[in-house]
Amino acid sequence: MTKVGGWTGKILRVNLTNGKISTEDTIKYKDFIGGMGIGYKVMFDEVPAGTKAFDENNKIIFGAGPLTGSGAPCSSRTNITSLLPSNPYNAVSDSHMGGNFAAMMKYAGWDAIIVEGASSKPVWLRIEDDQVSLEDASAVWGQGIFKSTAEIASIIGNEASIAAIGQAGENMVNLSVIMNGTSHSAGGHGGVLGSKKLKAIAIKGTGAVHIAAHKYELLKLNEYMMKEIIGANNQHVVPRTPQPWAEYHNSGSRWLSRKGLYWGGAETPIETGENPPGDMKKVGFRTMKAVMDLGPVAEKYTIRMGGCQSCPIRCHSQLKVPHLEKYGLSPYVSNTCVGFSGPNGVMIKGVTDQFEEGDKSMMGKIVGAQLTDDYGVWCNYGLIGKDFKYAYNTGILKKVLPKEEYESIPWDKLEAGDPAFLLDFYRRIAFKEGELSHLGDGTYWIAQRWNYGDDFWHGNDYGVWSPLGFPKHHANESGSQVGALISCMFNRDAQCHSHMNFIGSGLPIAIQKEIAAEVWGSPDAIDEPANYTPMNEYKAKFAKWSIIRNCLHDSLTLCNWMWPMTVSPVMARNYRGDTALEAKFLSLITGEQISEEDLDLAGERIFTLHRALTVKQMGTIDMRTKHDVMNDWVYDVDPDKKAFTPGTIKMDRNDMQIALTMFYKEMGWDEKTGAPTKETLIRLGLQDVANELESLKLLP
Amino acid sequence: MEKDKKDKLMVTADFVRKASMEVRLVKPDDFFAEPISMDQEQLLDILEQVFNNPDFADIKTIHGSESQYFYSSNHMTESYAKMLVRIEDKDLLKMVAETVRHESKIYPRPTDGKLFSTSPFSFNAEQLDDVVSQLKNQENYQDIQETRASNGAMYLYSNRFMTREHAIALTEWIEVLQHETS
Ligand code: SF4
Repeated sequence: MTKVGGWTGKILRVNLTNGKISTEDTIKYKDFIGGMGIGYKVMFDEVPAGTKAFDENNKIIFGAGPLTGSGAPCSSRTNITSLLPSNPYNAVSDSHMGGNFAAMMKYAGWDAIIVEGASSKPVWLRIEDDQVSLEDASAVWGQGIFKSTAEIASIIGNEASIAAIGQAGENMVNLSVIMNGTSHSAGGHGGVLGSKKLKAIAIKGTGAVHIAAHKYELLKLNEYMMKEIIGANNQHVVPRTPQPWAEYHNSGSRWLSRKGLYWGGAETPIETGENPPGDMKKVGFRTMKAVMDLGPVAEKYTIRMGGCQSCPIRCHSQLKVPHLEKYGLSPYVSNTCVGFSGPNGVMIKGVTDQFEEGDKSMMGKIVGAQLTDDYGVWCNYGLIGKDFKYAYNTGILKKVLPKEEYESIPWDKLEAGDPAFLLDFYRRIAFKEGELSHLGDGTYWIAQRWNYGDDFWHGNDYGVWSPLGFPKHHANESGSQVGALISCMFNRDAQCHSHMNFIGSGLPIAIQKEIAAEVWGSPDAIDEPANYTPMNEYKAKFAKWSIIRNCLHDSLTLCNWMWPMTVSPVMARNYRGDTALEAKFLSLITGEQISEEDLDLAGERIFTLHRALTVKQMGTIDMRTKHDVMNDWVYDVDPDKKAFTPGTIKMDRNDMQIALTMFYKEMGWDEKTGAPTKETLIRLGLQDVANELESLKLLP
Repeated sequence: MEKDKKDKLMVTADFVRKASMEVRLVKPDDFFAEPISMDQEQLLDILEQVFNNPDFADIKTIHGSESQYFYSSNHMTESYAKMLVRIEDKDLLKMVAETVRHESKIYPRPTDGKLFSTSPFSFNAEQLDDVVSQLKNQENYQDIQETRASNGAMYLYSNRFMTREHAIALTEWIEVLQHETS
């Protein structure tokens, strides 16, 4: 690839079957930008339909994009693409991790790493700039992620970034993660590395990402974003509590900093304080998420907020909680959001205060996070707890578990709300011990195996979104049909926050509607929360925009828990964000003039390729009835209320079919089936994809 | 003479700005006391000039039930100044009711009872319980209604701007359900 800014120009390919290590030119994938885009293209071109996640033929791609390593805010996300074992069709999916792995990969000179084949013995991949080798991993095989990371770091050096799997990945547990930095995890693909006997990838990069523009131009753009556009985590732009500088406040905001709230576990406690827009040095204090995720008691244990390379937001709470040692765990714990709450979801009877008043919310979460981060177990966005709850509460577990196994489980701890229960639970999952461990297969598989009833799938209590076995994730509760459409389109829970960041920004509905009119063409693109209106074309545009921006972010690679910058905290801007910022950064960094429209087209291409991959793997074009389906609770919740009345988020069956039709139309897909048409594939430069689908008789 | 007048304008404006930085409103009485020490007539004259001079466009006035107040919009938003005025008015019922109506109308959302325990309101639990029970008995405030989330947290809303069903659903979302997502 001719040297342009942003991309390194090289992709590393490692064949674990024959040990061959080779280099490819990134240029082939330039239309797909990077990260997710490269991943989908490799999967479409190289992995035959019908391949299973743990087959030798499956591949796994670690991808970064042109913005990673450039210094653009919130840009060190690694996109991992492969077949997903927890999906009934093992359809393609992506998982993402933050940390510093992606930036280090770029500094070492690689835009992506394609791993193929399978090794006959445990290995780890050592990358020091262009020196690449496969190393014996027998000493760390069988170890958890924490120890493995430390051992490998002692060989390659502490400055390396190491992405590893734990025992769950090694044992090919469907619900397992790949993790770097010992708390930045990508859920779903750990077992794929395990099936290939690849314990870890360790990278040391000493280079830099070439930036085409003069550095002052980039600094200027950075400063503009930092002073005028960026808010707190999830791009929340109003503080949680009333503050003199702020016109609005919202108790759900992740802008938690205020006078009197401290990083209380720091050697000298640090006050988070008020951090109005304009002071870019204090942006990192805004998201004091420890108290949001773990409760007020966490304040005094919070050493600081951490996060990914090149991110000023710092959404990972880093705590020292000595009580953890009583469970045989390290007192140092770090995580965020569902990384805390998901593992604790298994405590279905709740957790009681353990060491001090009010620590119940914290103790279950940090014990769960330490265990799952070390074993490398994934919570399926919290669904493992719901799967367990159903089996326990309905008596299924008593029936399916051998008596001896059932009696060996410390149910008394579960009933008493003692998080020590999790020690036993997650060991069984990670090591595939006994029948209980099948909870690690994922929702679809366990529901088949243990014959879960309709009340599980269709009951509101469990929140199972799709018959394919994944949960709601910013679905109909987040923007009515917009969130519902987004949640139907992927092969796992939708990891899309573009819509939710906007809806949850904390601004009054009138301002949100004005911005919606400017960005998606009408104020009717959004509804008031829990006061919905029937489908309209602007909601379809909003849903499309949200998804293609999400795909763009995972290709550029930017954090979609922050981007896109639809709103701003600045009153003088009338809270308008800047939706062209991705294009502005990319233009400066690459030296090529790239418009917002160019980028959105690339996002559309990447998302349509994802759809083509799904059609190919499922062997049907009938996406409408085989894939884009919601369980009944979405329509039947609140039986005494009608859809589109205030106070309910229930959807209407006919209306959702109209919504799908409008969405397919926006995407240029076949309005009947929801499969990409030949014309659209050609319009997006995907002629080869069209040819392949045609040969498989999978074009509408 | 001109310079002297300009200095006075500056001193007056800076006095207001400093108070706003310290999260306080300025009352007319504050100008009569040290260090400004103006009389009524001087104050009216100075204020007229301040309000007509673009250099002092940040100096704003706002009225409470008993007094007029001044603040600088460089350091305080109008909405925050309104909260402080409601506190200055010492009419707790009106303060809670107006805050709740405002939130029910613009966001729209029910107001978390915990809001009133944070700055600048800083009620204790008994004060809030007392205010809520008094609201129920006053004709002027019959639009202010209570909801409870499944964890017992208390929220208030105004039925002028929100139906009960809507308020109940949002209470549960704000207090419980949104924390299950990320
Ligand atoms: S917002 Fe959080 S997850 Fe996103 S880049 Fe920043 S630290 Fe990482």
